[in-house]
This record gives sequence, structure tokens and C-alpha cells, in this order.
Amino acid sequence: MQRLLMMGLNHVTAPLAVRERCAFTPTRLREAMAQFKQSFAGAELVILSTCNRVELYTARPVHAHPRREELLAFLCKFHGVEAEVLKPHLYLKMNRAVADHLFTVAASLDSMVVGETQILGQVRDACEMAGEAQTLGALLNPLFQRAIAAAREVQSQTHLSEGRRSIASIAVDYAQRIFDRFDDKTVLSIGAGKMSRLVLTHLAELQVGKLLVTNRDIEKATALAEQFGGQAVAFDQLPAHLAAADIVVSGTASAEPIITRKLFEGVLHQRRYRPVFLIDIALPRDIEQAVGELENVYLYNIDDLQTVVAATNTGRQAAAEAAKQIVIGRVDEFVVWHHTREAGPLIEKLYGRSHELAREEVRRTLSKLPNTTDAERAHLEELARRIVNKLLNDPVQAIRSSNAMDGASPYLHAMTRLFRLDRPVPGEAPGEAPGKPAETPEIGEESGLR
Amino acid sequence: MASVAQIGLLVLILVAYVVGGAMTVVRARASLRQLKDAPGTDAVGSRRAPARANRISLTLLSLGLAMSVILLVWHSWSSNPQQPLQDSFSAMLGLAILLAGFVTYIQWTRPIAALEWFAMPIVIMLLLMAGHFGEAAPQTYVPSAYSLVHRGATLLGAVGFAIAAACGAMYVRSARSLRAKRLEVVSTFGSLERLEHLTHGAVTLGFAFFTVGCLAGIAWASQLHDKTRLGQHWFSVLLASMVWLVYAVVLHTPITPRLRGRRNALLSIAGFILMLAAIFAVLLMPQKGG
Repeated sequence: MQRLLMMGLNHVTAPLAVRERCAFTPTRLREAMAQFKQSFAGAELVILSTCNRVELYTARPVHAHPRREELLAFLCKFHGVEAEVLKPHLYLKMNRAVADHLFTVAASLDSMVVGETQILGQVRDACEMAGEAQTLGALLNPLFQRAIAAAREVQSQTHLSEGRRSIASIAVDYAQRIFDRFDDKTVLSIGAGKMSRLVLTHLAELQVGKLLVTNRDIEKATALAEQFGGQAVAFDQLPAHLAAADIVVSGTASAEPIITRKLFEGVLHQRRYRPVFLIDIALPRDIEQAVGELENVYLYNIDDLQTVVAATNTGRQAAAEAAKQIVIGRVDEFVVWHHTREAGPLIEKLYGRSHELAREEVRRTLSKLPNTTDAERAHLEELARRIVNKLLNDPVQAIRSSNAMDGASPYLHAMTRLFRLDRPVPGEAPGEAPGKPAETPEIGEESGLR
Repeated sequence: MASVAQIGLLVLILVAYVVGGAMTVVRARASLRQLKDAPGTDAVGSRRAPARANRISLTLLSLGLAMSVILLVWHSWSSNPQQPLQDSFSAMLGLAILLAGFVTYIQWTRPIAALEWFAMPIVIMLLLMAGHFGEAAPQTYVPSAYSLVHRGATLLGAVGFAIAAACGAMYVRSARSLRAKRLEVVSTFGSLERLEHLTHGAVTLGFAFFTVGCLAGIAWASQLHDKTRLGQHWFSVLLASMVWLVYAVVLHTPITPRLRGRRNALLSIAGFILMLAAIFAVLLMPQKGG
């Protein structure tokens, strides 16, 4: 039997400053996967790290590791953050609640900007990365695949994502509130990732005078610059480029801010205090928050833009409701699948063993009654079979009709223990080792850390 | 002195401006609602509401402006056609016409959504001042080219400063909203750059007219036979000097860039408040004239 456990924080529970401390860059993500695999052999892990959330999805056999304390310790140790700092912002979900949450996240119903489509790609990437790191197994893989399929269904069958304003389009709106014309303006893109490309696509519509792209990897900068008819410039001359730029889009994977207040004070003096629009789409942030306090500097980070986007498009209740219904239906299907996968072989085993026992007892009884006819023998065998079926009918029905992931779990566990179904029988592969008590506090728990 | 009929027309103008102003609020609310209910949403709402409110507001603004011009011509014709702007009523009305004319021009050509909210209160205040001082006897002046240039140029300067103050106030409000990352700023105001250009342009023109007006005033004062009466003007002269100094600082922004942006806008507002104080000082002077 397997347990699902998820621990995480998101834009609702944690401010940007906490989220950026827990964020995983692609390199760090691989390191984390490797460390997890080493610490908890046999457990599955998928890490979903976006600008809005950091979530660790795990699956493990019922008595195996990691437990929630161990998962928290792993997260804290990996990021060098004290548990007391994270605890107030974390949420913990188990079993069905994990499936509910993941399906809702993938369908973009839990996003800051409900209906945004980027999250689906991020869920898919997280799943692929776990596959590469070989931390994806028999439970998390189908869970994520079904979540992705459900999200696609939401996108295609509801109007949730239609006509939505994006972060990039809001950034352009703000740029138009600051500047009147753009043919004499310079845009500087620091970083050459997907989000930078997206923002530049929208800014390009304004027909800006000059576009500069800088990146530690100059080849990536050149490729992006060529796409928008801009110019790739050296990263080590960043202050000079900043002084020339009126709009700065920063989206690097740097763990530390690359634009500090001290640096920008000098830049601002160089540019004679002309207004400058800074768009920080990185997490962890590339631009110190204090830069935004300087005169004539308008700094917007990912949260600022998303808040505005989320405040728009308020009339989507019907679409959101339809999406929720799809999600609920698909979670139910997953739970039934999981239940069948877990309970089916166990029920089959229970019937098999009980009938075998009954047949054995019938044989023993018949050996003491030498004068029985074939008809009487058949009646006795039928009697034993019926008794077994009647005795097992109620408990098996209770398991089948119970709330599949949370409600059935203790029954399955009890059935395994009471009927010794985990005991290997000749010709069968060994089952899970019994011994440790079931983790009753976990059952149905939504949030245990806050 | 304004007649009762002229005061009645003045009230009508005020009503047109106030109702027009109210329609701009309706327009802004409808625009914001439209922004929130982006295309593809389930919300049902008229997409034409902002345009309709805008049309009504512009019509009322233009109607008020046309009535103001008629009133000015009527008043000048009935009092002294040879010397327009000779009394406080026509001076205030003239100032209001120029400012409302600027707003109307901008809103018909390249609109700034909330310009009326900042400029029209000044227009309404000037019209109220005209109504109040229109009841009083007109000031008498020594007929002189200097006095005419002084009054005309100073009034044009005041219009420039009023426009600068309105744009400056919009700049301050817009910059604050942008810093607070509020949603409404996306739909309501013009760009900071445009507001800064308008402020700078208005200050440049206003300063030029105001300087000419001040110089003409000095020349006019030097012609006065009764030099002792100059002492009565000390307060308005002091205020006018302060106005001149403030706007001189504003015009120095290109060589003192630390002043640009919000600080410049705040100085433009402060300058206009001083200008209003100077106008009041002149209006409240003993009514004997020079």
C-alpha cells in the first residue's frame, strides 16, 4: 500500500521573500532529487517550483520514509532555512487531498491568475525532471499524467483561459502609463529565458527604438536579440547598459540580486534621473526591493504584475465552476483507479485463501466420512464456499464502497493484518513487512504544520 | 459690473461644467469595469458605456466653453467694448475660458482621461470668483498700454501656470498610483512622460508671459504720478516675485535633473497656489486703481 504526501508553500501562504528562499533553480532541483533519492530509497518525488509555489510531492510504501517531519527537515536542510521560519507558511496534504490539490493546481484553479496556462507546462516539466532523476514511480507518474490530462481537458472544454490578460500585457500597459512614445526608448533584457521572450514579444508591439539583450551566456542573448531585431551586449558591462535603458526586463536564474540599490543609485545619476521602468520576472528576484524606493524608478516584480492580472477578468465564475467539476470528476477517477490497484489484488487474495482454507476443511471432514456420495460431497463443498462468500461479503463491500483513498486505507491495512495477507505463501512473492503501526494521524489530514 | 442675466448665464455654464465633470467619473468607472471584465469573460456589461459618457462629457464641456465666450463678449460689449478684460469679472472669465479651451482642445485631439478632474475645478473656481467679484464695481485703471499688456500677459501666464498645476497634480497622483501598483492607474491617466512634457511646456509659456506681464507692471508703476500708492501693492508684488522664482527653478530642471518628475510637479502646484494668492491680493486691494 502506498501513501501520498505533499508539502509546500504558495503565493497565498508565503510572501515573495520566503518563496524565493525555497525556490529551486533547475540545477538545484537536480541536486535535490539526487539527495532525496540517496536519503529515501524507494520513495518517489516530484518537485514543482514556480514563481508562485514550491511543492514537494512524494509517494512511499505505508511504513516507509519520508514522513512529514523528515520531508520538512529535508526541505529546510537543502535550502539552509530554519524550520521555524518555514512552518508558518507551509501546508501539508495527504492521500486524496494531494490528488485534489495537484489536479486543481495543474488546471490553474489555484493560480494567482486563475486560468493562466503556464502552470500546465511547469507541471509537465516537473514530472519530466523527476522522470530523468528516476524519482518518478508507480504512483506519482499516473497521478501527474492524469492531472495533466485533466488540465488539458479544462483548457479545451471551458472558457477559463480565453481572453485572459497576461503578465506581459499588463507590463506593457504600465509601460504606456510611464512613457508616451517608445521610438526613442531603449529596452534592456537581462536574461534570455521563456518569460523574458514573452515580455519582449509584447514590448515589441510598442516598436521600441532600441533593444539590448544581455545574458551570462552570450549565445542565448544573441539568439534572443536576433529574434526581436535587437543587439546582444556583454553582461559584465551591465551598469552602462542600465544607464542607457528606459525599460529593463530582468529574468535570470541568479540566486542573488544582480541589481542592488547602491548600483542603481549610480545608474540613476548617470541617466540624469530620467524615469525608468523595471520589470523583475525572476524568482529569486534579480532586483533589490529597495531599488523601487528611488525617485523616478518604477519597479514591478512578478507578484505586483500577477496581482493586477488577478484583479482583472473577474467575471469567470461560470468557467471556473465548470473547470472545478471536471477536476472533481477526474480526481474521483484517479482515486477509483488507485483503489482498484491497491484493493483488487488484496480482495482476490482474501477470497483465494479463504476458499482454499474452506476446501481444505471440507476435504478433512470428508476423509472422516467414507460413505458420502458424490452429490453429498458437492453439497458440502458448496456449503463451505457459500459460508466463505457470506462471511467475506460485508467486509469486502465496505472496502469497495468506502472513500477510496482515505477511507479504504485503514480497512485495507486492517484486512492485511487480521487475515495475515502479507504472509508469503508458497509460490507467491513476499508482500510488505508488517510490524509498525499505521500512521493514523495522517489519514485525511489536510494541513498539519500550520 | 455683471448684470443679473449675465450671472444667470454664468450659473448655466457652471452647471454644464459640473454635469460634464460628473460624466467623466461615469466614464472612468465604466472603463475600469471594462478593464476588469476582459474579453472572453462571462460578465455582461455594455462595452459602449465609456464612449457614451465621454461623448456627453465632451459635449457639455464644449457647450460650457461656447457659453463662456458668449458671456465674455456680451459682458465686454455691455460695459466697455474698447477695453476688454477691464474688470475682474471679465479677467476671471477670460482665464476660465482659456483653461477650459485648453482642456477641450486636448480632449478632442489626444485625450487624457482624467484631465478634467484636475483642470476643471480650477475653471469652476475662477467662474465662482468671477461671479463673486462681478457683483463689485470694476477697478479703474489709468488707460495705458502698459496696464493692458500687464493684465493680458499676466492672465496668459496664469493660464499657463494653471495648466502646469493641473498636469503636475495629475503627475503626482499618477506617480503615486504607479508606485502603489494600483489597477486603476492602468486605465485612468495619461503617461507620466506626456504629463511632464505638458507641465514643462505650460510653465515655459506661462513663465514667458508672466515675465512680460511683470515687466509691463513695473513700467506701468513707474508711470504713476502718486508713487505712494505703490506701497499698497507690496504683498502682491512679493507673491508675484515668489511665483517668478518658483517657476524659474522649475525651468532649470534640464540642468538640475534631481528636480525632475514628482518634485517638479509639486513645485508647479506650489507656484500656482502662490499665483492664486497673488490674484486674490490684487482683487482684494482697495478699489481706487492707479
